[in-house]
Amino acid sequence: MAKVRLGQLVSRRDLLKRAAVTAGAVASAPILGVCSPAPAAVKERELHILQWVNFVREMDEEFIRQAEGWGKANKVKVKVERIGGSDLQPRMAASVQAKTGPDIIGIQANWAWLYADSLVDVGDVVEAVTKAPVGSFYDDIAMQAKVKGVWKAVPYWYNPGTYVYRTDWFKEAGVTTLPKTYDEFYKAGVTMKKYGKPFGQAMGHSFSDPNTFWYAFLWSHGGKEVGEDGKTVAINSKETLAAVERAIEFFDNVWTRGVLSWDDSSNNRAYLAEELSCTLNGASIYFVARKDFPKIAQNSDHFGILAGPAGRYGQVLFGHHVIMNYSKNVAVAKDFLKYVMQPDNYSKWLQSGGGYMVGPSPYHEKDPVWKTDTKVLPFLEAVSSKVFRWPGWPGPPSTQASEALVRYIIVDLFAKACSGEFKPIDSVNWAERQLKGIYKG
Amino acid sequence: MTRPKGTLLLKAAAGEGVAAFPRAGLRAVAGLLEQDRFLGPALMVPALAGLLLFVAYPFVYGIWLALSDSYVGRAGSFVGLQNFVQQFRDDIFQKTLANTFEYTIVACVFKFIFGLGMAAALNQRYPLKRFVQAAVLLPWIIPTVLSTLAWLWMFDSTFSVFNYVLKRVGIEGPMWLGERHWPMISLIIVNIWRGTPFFGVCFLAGMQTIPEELYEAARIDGAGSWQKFWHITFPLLIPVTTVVMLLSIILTFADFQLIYVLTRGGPANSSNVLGTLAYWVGIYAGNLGGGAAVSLTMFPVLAVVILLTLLALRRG
Repeated sequence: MAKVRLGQLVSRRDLLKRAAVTAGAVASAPILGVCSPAPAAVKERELHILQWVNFVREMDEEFIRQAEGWGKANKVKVKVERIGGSDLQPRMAASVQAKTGPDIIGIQANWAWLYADSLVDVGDVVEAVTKAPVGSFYDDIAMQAKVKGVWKAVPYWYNPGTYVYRTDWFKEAGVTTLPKTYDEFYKAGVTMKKYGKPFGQAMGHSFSDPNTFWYAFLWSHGGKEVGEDGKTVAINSKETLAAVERAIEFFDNVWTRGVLSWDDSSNNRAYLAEELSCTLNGASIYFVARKDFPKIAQNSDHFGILAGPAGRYGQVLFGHHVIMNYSKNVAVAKDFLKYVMQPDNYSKWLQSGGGYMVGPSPYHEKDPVWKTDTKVLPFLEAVSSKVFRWPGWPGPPSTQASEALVRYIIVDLFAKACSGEFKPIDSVNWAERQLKGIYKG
Repeated sequence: MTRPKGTLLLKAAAGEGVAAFPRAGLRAVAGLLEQDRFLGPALMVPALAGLLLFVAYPFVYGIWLALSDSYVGRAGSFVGLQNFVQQFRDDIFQKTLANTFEYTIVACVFKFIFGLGMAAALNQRYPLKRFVQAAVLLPWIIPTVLSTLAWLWMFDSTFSVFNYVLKRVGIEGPMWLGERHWPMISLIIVNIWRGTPFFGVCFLAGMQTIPEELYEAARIDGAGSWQKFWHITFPLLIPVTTVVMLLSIILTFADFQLIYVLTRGGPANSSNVLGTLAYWVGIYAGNLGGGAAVSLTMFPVLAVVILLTLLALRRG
């Protein structure tokens, strides 16, 4: 049977003609769609919200429930998108740069300063949220949200860390007094490491635990990134050097192996695997234990932020909501934020977390959530005692402090010395060079 | 009753002879396309458009970013080579550059050696040959992130299966991702595991094109296995080797996924490579100019590698 060639069925001219016309049809279809009159029905309003995946799932579920309820009542199609915490900042950067994306983003730390030019002024929302009975926000969280006198973010939560510890092992090892200072913590840690159940603290590059511990460690030992003017790099001091040398002692005698590579979940896993006897963390370890490892939960409790030679300081993860200035739904977004921050709605959300988050104003200290489990009270105390400071302290918040935070300069100041890569003084000099590069910009 | 506009065009695309455009113009275009000197370039236009849009434009824009002080959300102004100077003076960048060369050179050398050995083994006769040849490709086929996550667990400081086995025989295993040189060693191990099958399969394909008569002649002349390999197999594999090494060097030098998932460049930036550092600087810290400068550092290195390889291929 003779082979039939394609050219015998369709001529080249026909094939090209049909291809060109098809391409033209596909290209012009959207234009025709625009030119054609839209259906008579009113276009539904939309709101796109981006948040991190909360470690306590029930809080996400409550937020979505409230968002969907509000959406139905106000004829707004609400889409709540969740991504991993460490993916939030790249996504924020992409949205800012592309000038498109979610209308509301649940940011963290001092990102409002980093992306201030791309955020809407939400002063009217803050005014509505802070009227009686709620009142004003705590100073430290307000400073992260108010950029050069303009409210660029609506404060949403604190996620404080305190020290979760094994009560049974502490008792067996003879640690009968709970540490209040880093010196007492060190002594307890040495004892527990000899007992076979060391302490552990992350020194890797992840957004929560490493910064929470090591900024507080630096400040409590008298070190600081910059002076009160927020511009003069002040990291190279005898206090910082002493802090670094102390960190090496902790690394050698208190921490478990491998902390240099730990991220935010490593200490959770190690504690729940009963490899650790104590670690600084949010309440997530305890909550997971309560649900899945009751024996560990029964034998766990918390103690508060430690004091160093220079005072008692903590660093905490803050959460805020921001409205992007490319959003076409600014008014809708503002209405939504006012809704979720109403006292009753916010209280329901807090209670769904069982004490995992703390509210952004002193008003929320009276929330019924704090009566449910006495073991989470140290988290409230950590916020209400006002020990928390912000990156760049004692200077004001700034874009440079934000950049130093996301580049983990302070975490690496300690990590490089502990790993042996640098001698303590070289590590301090390195941090100084890095900060000078950031702050001169 | 008016017909929706789309119907006319759809009918034209279906070739029902309904002209959507003026007939004269269409005839003129069709006439041009009958000529090879117009048809060739016309057929290349879609691919060229794709290259321009997705390769050339980002590359040129990247150069602009590298020469500007752009930050996320802020348009930049021209600052010349300031970003490059700043990065080259930075300890982290210097360490990262050294890491990238170390990672690439060590991994590629071992992938070459193991790939050659794998190909030689696969080229023998044994049962289920085709199945085995397919199975050894698995590390290369499995998505990088997925396989690296598995390695992350195997290297975990608390749950490492390697350390568990070592502990059972009385050896304290290293902190694969958290102690001195071990993060880089771990990265190289995983890269070798992933990339060896690619070398192996390419070398195998090359070996199977070598005429059997050459080996027969060598056998008659009394050549041993090593002599046959050194004087026949290896020289005839040089063209394949050149291409495979070129591709592997490019992909390894520009690697991002494996490092990002396994170590994130840590601890303390000690295992950063240029790809991950560009990400931290450009996206996380928002310094687009700095990030672009880090990323563009790869270009001259890879350009030289490609040039040398193409020259070698031409001479061969």
